[in-house]
Amino acid sequence: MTNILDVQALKTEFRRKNTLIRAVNNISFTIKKGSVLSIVGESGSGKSVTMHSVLRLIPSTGKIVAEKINFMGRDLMRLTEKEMRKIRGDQISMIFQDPMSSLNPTIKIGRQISEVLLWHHKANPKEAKERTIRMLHEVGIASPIERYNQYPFEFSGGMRQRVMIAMALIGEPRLLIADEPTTSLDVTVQAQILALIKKMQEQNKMSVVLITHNLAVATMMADEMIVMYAGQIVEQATKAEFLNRASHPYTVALLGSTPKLNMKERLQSIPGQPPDLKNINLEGCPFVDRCSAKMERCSREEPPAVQLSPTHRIRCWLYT
Amino acid sequence: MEPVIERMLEVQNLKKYFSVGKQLLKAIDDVSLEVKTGQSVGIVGESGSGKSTFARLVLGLLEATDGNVFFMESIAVQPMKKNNRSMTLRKYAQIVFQNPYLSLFPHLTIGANIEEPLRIHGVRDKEKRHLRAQELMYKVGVPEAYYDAFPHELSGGQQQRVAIARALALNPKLIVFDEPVSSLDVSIQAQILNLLLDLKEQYRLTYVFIAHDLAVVEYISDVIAVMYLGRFVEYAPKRFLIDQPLHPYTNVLLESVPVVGGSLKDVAGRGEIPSPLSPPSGCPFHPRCTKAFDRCRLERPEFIEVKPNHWVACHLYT
Repeated sequence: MTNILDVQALKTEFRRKNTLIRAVNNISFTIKKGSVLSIVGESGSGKSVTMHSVLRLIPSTGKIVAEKINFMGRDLMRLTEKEMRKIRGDQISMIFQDPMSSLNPTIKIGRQISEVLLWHHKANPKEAKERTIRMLHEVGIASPIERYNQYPFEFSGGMRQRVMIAMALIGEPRLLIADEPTTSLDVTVQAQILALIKKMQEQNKMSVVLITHNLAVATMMADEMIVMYAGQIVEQATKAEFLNRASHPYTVALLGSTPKLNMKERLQSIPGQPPDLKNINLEGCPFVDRCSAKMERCSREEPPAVQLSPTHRIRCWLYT
Repeated sequence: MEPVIERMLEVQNLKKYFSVGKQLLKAIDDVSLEVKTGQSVGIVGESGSGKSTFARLVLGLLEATDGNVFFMESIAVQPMKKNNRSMTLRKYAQIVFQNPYLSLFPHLTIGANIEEPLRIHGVRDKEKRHLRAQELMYKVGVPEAYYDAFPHELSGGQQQRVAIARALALNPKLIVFDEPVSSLDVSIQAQILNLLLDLKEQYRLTYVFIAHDLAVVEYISDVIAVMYLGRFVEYAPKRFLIDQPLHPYTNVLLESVPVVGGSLKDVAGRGEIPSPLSPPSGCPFHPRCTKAFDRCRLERPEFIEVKPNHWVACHLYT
């Protein structure tokens, strides 16, 4: 299978006054065509910044450096802003956590969705309207013709997220980035939205990057998994490898601290706080202070990337 | 000797209606509940189910439209009387909210935040307050060095620990938690949940624990009540509720809980929770229910005890 996205040595840094924040610290990964990659991590892990960097959607205080960000044969690092704009929303699109703040409250839903087609010159106004209505139907919005002329406030949270999905998919992107798409939704609605994203992914044979803090959601959707901590990828694996042989102490601890139904044992909590990116130890492993398996060298030397299988890689001294 | 209190909290036919324009929003519609001393009752429901309104009503932070709430068997929380600010209630019943930053005073230090209830309840001795705050900070795991820090200098997890310390300051008997961990990272969430279990055991506390995450509620609670559009639809000891749920809505909630390594199921509960402004006729869950039949559209099911201590409001069981 070929890769749709190939990111090599990506670093994203933010400079604020005298502090340098290394939000993403030298990471490399690929996404296969037509597959789903889940990126899991806690707040400050860099999971969102990573994908925002790929789309070059970061504030002006940020700086992106990468060996390459190859998307369908083109290096996105070499594109001008104008060329990037043609890619965003067309070949790569994105859905965010909070649908209310991502939709324009003063513009009717139908116009907001069809604008994608018009902006990218993919359809004339009449076709755009027809396709939008078909799309609304596709994402499970009842009476799409009436709904076309309604405003965001007339939709419930789950319905708004369906609108966001319609908007993201109408341009038939090859890559969809879903950044915590169900975090603000109720569990029953979350299940519906996840099923919808999966259905559309299979139907359109597109690739999906799912960014989430929820391990369960990540594994339910993924073909491949990435776990991030303090701006680094600490573990990457196929879903099967992840479920059977999660190896990095952070991943293992994260699995142990996720509440499950019918739990007999006590939750395993990870001591300490999530990393403060302003002062992380750049010498050793960023997880060292919270790690139950730490060794002496962990705080002094940066852990190497260890290949456990051709598709399973972790950064940890335990496995060297 | 203090008299033994068996029923920490009694809620009888509680109602709270809000008027929205010309319409009536029935946020809580005839809910009864008994919480025994030392028990931990979980309330689970989706947004708009009325669980937060319920929390505020049982603590007298909001006036009920109808019904009674008794605390420690003798204190009438509802109906609220004018100027009735029972110091006993305020002392022995505490609440912890979802967003710790919004519930701490931003202009007071961590120490002063924790000492505030002591000050209000007449602990004049500054040294004594200081010592108590330090003791509480130790108990909940906030480093002593934060005593003089301000809330914004702490992480979300640490802020929530401070809010818990403050709730503990007056040796409460009942603590109501309204989504206490839903804004926290997974690793921190586990820390706080374990802390709550330890504190409960250590101080023999009674908990009302409200959350939307069934796995979290199950972890903390002894019994669980499922709320839907302002009413309880099922109530049972947690083992029975999780292993042998009776109400179709409870089933939908259980099936919707994401599971590590699980598959995406087509969850039976279609659609979303309807607006409480225009609740469906009959059983409020019938438009989403796969098992609904004619009677469900017409007649509202009573909340009845179908097995010992297992209550459900569903026509399948009548």
